[in-house]
Amino acid sequence: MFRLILRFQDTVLDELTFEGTPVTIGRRDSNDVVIDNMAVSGGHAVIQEPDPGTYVLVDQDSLNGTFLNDKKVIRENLFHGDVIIIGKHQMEFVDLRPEELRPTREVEEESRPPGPQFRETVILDTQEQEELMAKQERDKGISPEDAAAKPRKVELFGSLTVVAGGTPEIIDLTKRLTTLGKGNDTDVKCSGLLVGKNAAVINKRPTGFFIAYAEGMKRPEVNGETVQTQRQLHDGDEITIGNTRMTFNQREEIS
Amino acid sequence: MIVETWAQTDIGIQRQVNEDCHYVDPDKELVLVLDGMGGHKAGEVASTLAMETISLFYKEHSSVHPRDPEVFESYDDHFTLHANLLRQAVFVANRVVLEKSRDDDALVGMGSTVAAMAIRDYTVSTVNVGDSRIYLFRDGTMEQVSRDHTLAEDQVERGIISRDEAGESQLRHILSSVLGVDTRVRVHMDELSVFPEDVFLVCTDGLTAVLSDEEIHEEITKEAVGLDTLTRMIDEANARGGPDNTTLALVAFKKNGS
Repeated sequence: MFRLILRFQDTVLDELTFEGTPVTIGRRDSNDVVIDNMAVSGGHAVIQEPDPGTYVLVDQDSLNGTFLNDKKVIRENLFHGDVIIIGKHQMEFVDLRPEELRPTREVEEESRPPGPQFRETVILDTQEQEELMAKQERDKGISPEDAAAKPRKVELFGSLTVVAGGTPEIIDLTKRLTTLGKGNDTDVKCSGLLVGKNAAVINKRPTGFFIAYAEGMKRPEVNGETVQTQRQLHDGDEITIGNTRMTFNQREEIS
Repeated sequence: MIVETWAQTDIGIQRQVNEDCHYVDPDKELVLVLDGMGGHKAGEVASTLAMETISLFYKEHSSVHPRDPEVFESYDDHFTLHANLLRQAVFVANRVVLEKSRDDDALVGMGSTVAAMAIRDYTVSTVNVGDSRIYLFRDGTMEQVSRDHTLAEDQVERGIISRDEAGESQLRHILSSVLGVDTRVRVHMDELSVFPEDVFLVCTDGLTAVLSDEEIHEEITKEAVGLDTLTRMIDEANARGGPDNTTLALVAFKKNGS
C-alpha cells in the first residue's frame, strides 16, 4: 500500500492512495494518475510491483523523461520519501507500511559512480521556453535590462571593384559564395585565354572573405601571388584572374 | 575532387529504441543525419519520414530554376540554388511530419532534428535544425559549421551567457527549433568552398554528449579517416555509458587521382 502526494509548484493538488499495482501515470484519462500538462506523455510512466512489497518506477518511453529525486530514470526502485518528477509535477511516494517493514535503498546504490548526468533532449512550447529562460536569468541575477541588451555584432561587408578586363563596376559581395570565371552564369565575368568557366569562388565566412581556386588552367592571383587552394582577402588586395583585375575592399560595421 | 563517405548508427546502451536515422546519397550529393523524438517509437517515425521527404524532394528537383515559384516558398539570394533547394526540402519535411503527428494519437508531439549537407564540385551547402551538428576539420583546425537550436545557444547569441557557461547549462538539451512541431521552423544555413583533405563530420548529440570537441578532433586527425574512425568513436561513446543513440557520417574530400 502506498500513497502519492501530487504537487505542482509547491501546491498540493491531490493525495491518492493505492492498494494494488500497476499504477499508471500520464496525460490520458485512462491513467490512474492523470496529469493534464503538455510536457506529459499520454502514457508516461508506471509503478509496478515485481515482487510483493517491492515497488519499481518505470518510464514508458516518454517524450520528456521521468525523474526520481532529480535523476533521470528508466527503471528504478521506489522508496519511502522519494519524489517522482514528471514535467513540472511532483509526486511524493509515501510507503504506508510501518517503518520497520519498509525496505530502504541499498548503500551500494548510492555509492555507484555518477554516470554522465544526461538529461534527455526536451521540447517545450515557446511560453515554457521563455519561462525557463527567465527563471534561469533570475537565478543568475541577470536583470531584464541586461538581458535585453544584445551583444555587439560585427558585420563584414566586402566588394570587388573591376578595374581592368571587364565592365568597370563595383560588385557587392553579399552572397556566401560569389563565383568568378568565364561562364555566363558566374557572378563576376572574367576574361582571358586559360580562365575556367568557374575559375574561382569568394566565400564569405564569419571570419572574413576567402578566395578559392576552383578550376581551369589559370589560378587566381592575389597581389601577384598565385592562390594554391584558398587565401583570406584583406582590404585593398588586388585580385587577378586571367585578364581581369579587381580590387577587394572590406569594411566592418558594428551594430 | 573525389568525395568519400562513411556512416554508422548505434542504439547506445541506455535506450530501447534507435530513433536516429541517416542517409548518404549514392551520387554523394546529399548527406543527412536526423535525431527523432517522441514516445513509443514515434521518434523513429519522425526521423525516417523527415529523411525520406528531404532526400526525395532534393533529388526530384535538382534541375529546378532559381526562384521557381512552384517549388520555392521563399528564396534567399545570399545563397546558391542548391542551398535554397535543401532549405525548401527541410520546410516540406517539417510540414509532412507535423501532418503525420496529427493523424495518430500515438504520434502527437513527435519531432526530429536534421543536419544536412548538399555536396557540389567545389562547394558544400549546409542546413541544420536542432542540435545535430556538422563539423569541418581543415589544416589542423576544427570548426562547428552548424548552429545548435537550443535555449542555451540562444542565450549565448543574446549575450546572456558565455559559450563556456552554455556547455554546462541545463538549457543545452532544450531545443528551440525542431521539425514536425510547428508550421514554421527556424533553420541555420551556411555555404563553404571545399578543398582536398577537408573532412566533415555530421552527427547527432549522442556523440557530443559524451565526447569533448578536443577528443573528437583527436579521433578524426590521428590517422586517415574511414569506417574505423566511426567505430572507434561509437565504441568510446558506449564505453562512457552510451546514454543516447549515436549516428555519425564522415565526408572526406581528396584530390583527383589520389
